[in-house]
Amino acid sequence: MVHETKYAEAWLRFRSDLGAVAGLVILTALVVMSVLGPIIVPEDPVKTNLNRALEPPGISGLLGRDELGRDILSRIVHGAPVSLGIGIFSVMIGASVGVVLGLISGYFGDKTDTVIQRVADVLLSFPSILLALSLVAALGVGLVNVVIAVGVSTIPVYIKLVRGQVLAIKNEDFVKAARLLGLNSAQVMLKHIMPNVLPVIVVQSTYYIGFTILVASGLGFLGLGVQPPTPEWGAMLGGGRTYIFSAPHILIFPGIMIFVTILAFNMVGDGLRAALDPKAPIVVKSLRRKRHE
Amino acid sequence: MALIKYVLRRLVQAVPTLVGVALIIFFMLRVLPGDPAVIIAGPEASKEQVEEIRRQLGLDKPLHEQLFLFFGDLFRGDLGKSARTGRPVTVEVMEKLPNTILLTVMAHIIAVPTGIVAGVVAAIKRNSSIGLGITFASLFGISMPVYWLGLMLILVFSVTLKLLPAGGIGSPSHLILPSIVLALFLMANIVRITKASMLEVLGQNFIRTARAKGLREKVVLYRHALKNSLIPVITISGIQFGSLLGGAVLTETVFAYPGMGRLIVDGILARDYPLVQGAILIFATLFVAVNVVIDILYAYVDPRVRESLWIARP
Repeated sequence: MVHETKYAEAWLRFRSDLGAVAGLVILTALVVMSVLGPIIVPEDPVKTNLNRALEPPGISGLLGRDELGRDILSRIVHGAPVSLGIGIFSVMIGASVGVVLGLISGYFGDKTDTVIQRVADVLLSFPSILLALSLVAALGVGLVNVVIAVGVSTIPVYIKLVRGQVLAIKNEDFVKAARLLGLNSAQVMLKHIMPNVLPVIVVQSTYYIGFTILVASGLGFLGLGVQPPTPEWGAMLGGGRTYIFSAPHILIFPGIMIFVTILAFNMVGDGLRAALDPKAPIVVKSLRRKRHE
Repeated sequence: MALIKYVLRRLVQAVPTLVGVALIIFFMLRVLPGDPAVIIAGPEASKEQVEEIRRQLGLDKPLHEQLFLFFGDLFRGDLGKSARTGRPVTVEVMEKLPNTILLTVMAHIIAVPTGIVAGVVAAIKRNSSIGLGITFASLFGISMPVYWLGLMLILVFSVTLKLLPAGGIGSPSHLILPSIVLALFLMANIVRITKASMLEVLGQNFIRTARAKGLREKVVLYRHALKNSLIPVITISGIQFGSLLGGAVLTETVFAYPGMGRLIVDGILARDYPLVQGAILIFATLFVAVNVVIDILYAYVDPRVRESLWIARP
């Protein structure tokens, strides 16, 4: 009950945030594009036509053709579900593992905590793209391995984040009461701690979907991510890179798509953070009041 | 005296982390499903060829034996030889490392002062058009793929205007575009952190007290608020250093800049496992070292942290 009102209030705050709403509109458009786009687009995104390679926008197709004569518009549209899928699935991997380990680490404390925290510390010693790169080096390239590699690289941050939240509330009265009522550890964690940690996870995951898409597109650009002919935006940029002098149109549109997608996730993330963190508006209000006085 | 003690303790604490880093790299390439020998040999290799490569890499020995050999070599500063060039990995890395450090230092020199100033302006004037403009620009900055920004700058400054070289190394002009790309990314992050931190500090009681004392707004903002809001900026720039190294991987590739990032990427593409293993190990060690320095700096700057660290840490 308490949580429902909290979320209703958060939604009201979110709705009044122009940037957040704009981000949400862009994301909705991307989802619609992922679902309907592949049916509508003019051409097969992997069909090559070397006679028409590098044709600029306007002559054939709205956005021109790439180095193998494939229609860029079709490839961009087909790339939307690829990128969104990578973002969502890798965050699901990172969040599910990281949240469970973070809950356990914070709730049980002691030696379990020490072990989990040391492992998280070590994983955090790798810059995330480096961790993803090392995993790709070990697992090999390709869509599934990229999702795993990028997903795993987000785990330690979830562990730290959730553990911090659990430590902050595990000695609150309502948690103690739940334990006294005879609930076991799993029940206390799921029913009483989890609802309080959830907002933080939601905010972090929103940012992270954008971030994982960014990292995965970087891997694609390096030739270490999703492999051609799959139309992934980063890989499209990597493939067209050598044509920067002769056919720059290949490089412009996939980059804009990556940029807009990540911008949208960051805007929604900012909006969610402001909306779900009840402290934020109070600070702003108190500042305003001070000014008027 | 206490600070020296803390510095020593922090250095000692870094040792298990580094051992952990080495362990993870060791196991990642040996225990995970992908088999380096098979990948190196390629899809058409015969069983015998794969076995031969496995023997060359020492992967045919039992795991615990490999582990001992690995750490033994590590303590002697031997990271093995590059499979491609046959030169020691340490030599390969030391050739490229200064270039990457130069690039990241340049990015910091550009981004840290401008980012902090812009962040403070964005916080103080958050409802004016300039404040909103900075906030929006920083959102753009963190959402922009660095490699794409690099490509677009090459398109404008090298291909169209023919002002700057598109890539490579040699003159100071070669450094301009890559450092700007990295700096913009770092700057956007610093702006966001400084702004958030400044707003939080401005909401605290001691600021109200300072204002109530009748201090001029400028004194309150710069002497009281700014000093305190820079503390998180220090820690975060440590974490940012990591993503900056990551950004360097991509930026170096775009600008054909001979640094660590390109070394690792080329190593992975050429399946040069000893090189990749050694380069990543050195990269991660550098990151750990930077974080130790940041922690020490943090303790030095913030007396509250300093005391709690000295007392509370076991």
